[in-house]
Amino acid sequence: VRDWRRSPPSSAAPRSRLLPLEYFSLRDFTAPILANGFMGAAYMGAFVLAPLIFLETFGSSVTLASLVMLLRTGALTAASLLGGWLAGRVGARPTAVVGTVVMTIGSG
Amino acid sequence: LIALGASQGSLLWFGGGLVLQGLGNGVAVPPLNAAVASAVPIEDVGIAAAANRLLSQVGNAFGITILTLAYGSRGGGSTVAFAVGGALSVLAVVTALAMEAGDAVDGLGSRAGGSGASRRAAASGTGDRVERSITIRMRRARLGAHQRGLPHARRRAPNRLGPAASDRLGSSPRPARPRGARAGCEPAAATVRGADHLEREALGEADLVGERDRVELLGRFGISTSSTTARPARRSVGARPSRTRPAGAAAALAAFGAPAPSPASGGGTTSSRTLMRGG
Repeated sequence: VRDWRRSPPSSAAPRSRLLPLEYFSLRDFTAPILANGFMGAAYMGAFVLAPLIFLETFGSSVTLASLVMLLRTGALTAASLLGGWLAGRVGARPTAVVGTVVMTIGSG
Repeated sequence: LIALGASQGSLLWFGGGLVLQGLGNGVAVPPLNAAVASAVPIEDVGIAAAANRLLSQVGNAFGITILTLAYGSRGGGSTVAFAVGGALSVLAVVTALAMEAGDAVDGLGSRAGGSGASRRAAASGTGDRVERSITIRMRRARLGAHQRGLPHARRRAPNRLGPAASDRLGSSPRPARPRGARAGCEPAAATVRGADHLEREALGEADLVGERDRVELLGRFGISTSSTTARPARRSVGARPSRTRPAGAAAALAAFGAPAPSPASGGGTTSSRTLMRGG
């Protein structure tokens, strides 16, 4: 076991214990992580704003707003099952692309 | 649809867009997570999942901030805010398209050759075997403690073998040993030997459960192994140490109905020791 107070051996770059940075050279690692970040951004942004728009712009009741948001979460839950099944059937990349395209249609 | 519904004042399109967003997110996120997890070697899946989770949380926070900013800023509004959200999901589409297969297992290690499915099968098989090996080593450590008659092991060890082992030995259920009996007596020894054989059979090869590993593992459990390992060598002076099995032991094994292991596989190092000790 190396003494952590000493400087690391100069021969080779030590492998990071927390997050080996060479993983970011893998596209299968970096691209899904970034896509996940963007998906979360688009989803949660709308999640916070939508009830406000419901109440202010459309003047609808709180009940309707919360019902729609509940329906949205239910759709996410059901679609997660579908997404996992599709990922096993046709592969991760096509499924992710389809999901993000549906997300874009919904947002646009 | 959200941005369109917000600009047109159409409640239907707005709500429909929200539900569609939920659908899209639900379909996209599981394969993305799976792709991240399968891009790295299996011992680093935790690291990958943590990085994934970190960035998705950062994305959540930034999404809330950015859309709220676009909504509240001058010249902004709901339409602008949801258009920004649409741009974010376009970025998500681009990055998802930038993925490669997404099904590679052990991304750094085994990129070359084989379909995704075959590599997945191979990797899962490896994991399965390693897991079995660990379980078996722990069981062997417990059995080793049982041999030496440690009190907790004496109570529990025979049950660990399960019904298959006792079926194999032709004595099901195993006759109860008197409570005061020595742990190294013959039924216990045969049980240990039967477990030994079943383990070797389950693993398919003997090298995974070599004697050195067992000794090392016992040591890790805080059990001194010097007495057990030294005993065969001391008892059989002049003979080849530790890999030979006395004829009496083979006869005893045959009497218990267990098939004899091949000598080349080094089978029965535990049994020979135990039987020598008991008999």
